[in-house]
Amino acid sequence: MSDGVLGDLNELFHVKARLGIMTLLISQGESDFSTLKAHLGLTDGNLGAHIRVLEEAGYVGVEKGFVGRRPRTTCRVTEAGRKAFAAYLHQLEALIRMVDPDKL
Amino acid sequence: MKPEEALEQVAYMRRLVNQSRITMSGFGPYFILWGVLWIVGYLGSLWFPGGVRDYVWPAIYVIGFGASFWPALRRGSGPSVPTPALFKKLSWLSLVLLVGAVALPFIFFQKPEQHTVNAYYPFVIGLIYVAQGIFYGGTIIAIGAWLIVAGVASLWMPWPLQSQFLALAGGGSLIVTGLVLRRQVSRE
Repeated sequence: MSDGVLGDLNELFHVKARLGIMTLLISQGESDFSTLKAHLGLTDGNLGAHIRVLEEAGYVGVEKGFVGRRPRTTCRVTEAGRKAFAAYLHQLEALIRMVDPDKL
Repeated sequence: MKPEEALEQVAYMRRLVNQSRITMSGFGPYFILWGVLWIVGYLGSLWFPGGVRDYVWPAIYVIGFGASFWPALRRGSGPSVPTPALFKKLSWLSLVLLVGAVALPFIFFQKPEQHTVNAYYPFVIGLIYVAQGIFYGGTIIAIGAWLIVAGVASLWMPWPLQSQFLALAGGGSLIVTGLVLRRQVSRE
């Protein structure tokens, strides 16, 4: 199957790290940086870069604060992010329906 | 994207959600352990000779709490996947409630009546499970509700039937819950 069948697929979520960030944020409501890092097995720099991409797209909101003296970065999915991710999941679903199980 | 890739994406999302959600499915062995101890406790209080009988439940608490918390203490800072904050809070709250519930009859009554205490523990532990079940799901609510019913029903049972019933209904159902939770783990 060619990639043209679902040409408007949101490439932003196709990267595994960003897919993981969105999945965890949606399933947990919100998450802090260190929790995301541990679940996804990413480095600080790598995770920060992916979060920045999602933030610039308006899909994730980032809030910096402190717990006691320790800095804490909390991430949440925005309404736009929720809608875009839902659309992406619908596209995945449509793709999966096209699978011929015998060919897997 | 190819359909195979879409399937991989979905499988990855499912793994992440399973790994990060608050669940009691890993607690199967603890329910089985407490079920066995519960049976030993209730039947032991019938069968052991008088001098030993008084030490059955204290020994069970030491063994049970030791076996439940020792693996967690030994694990230290090892786990690479963090425990969700809500799970930690719930665990501490449950421990405080449990210790409080165990101590309560002895705080209010110096020597509480054994028949009532026998019925009280399943009842109050059932209440804690029902409250936890709001977060952990139907299996925990079901065992909690059953323990409440068993505790209340046992009030009207004569000795030694009460102890035999609570050993079977309480300990047995804890073991069954443990086996159900273990099956959930193998399915995940």
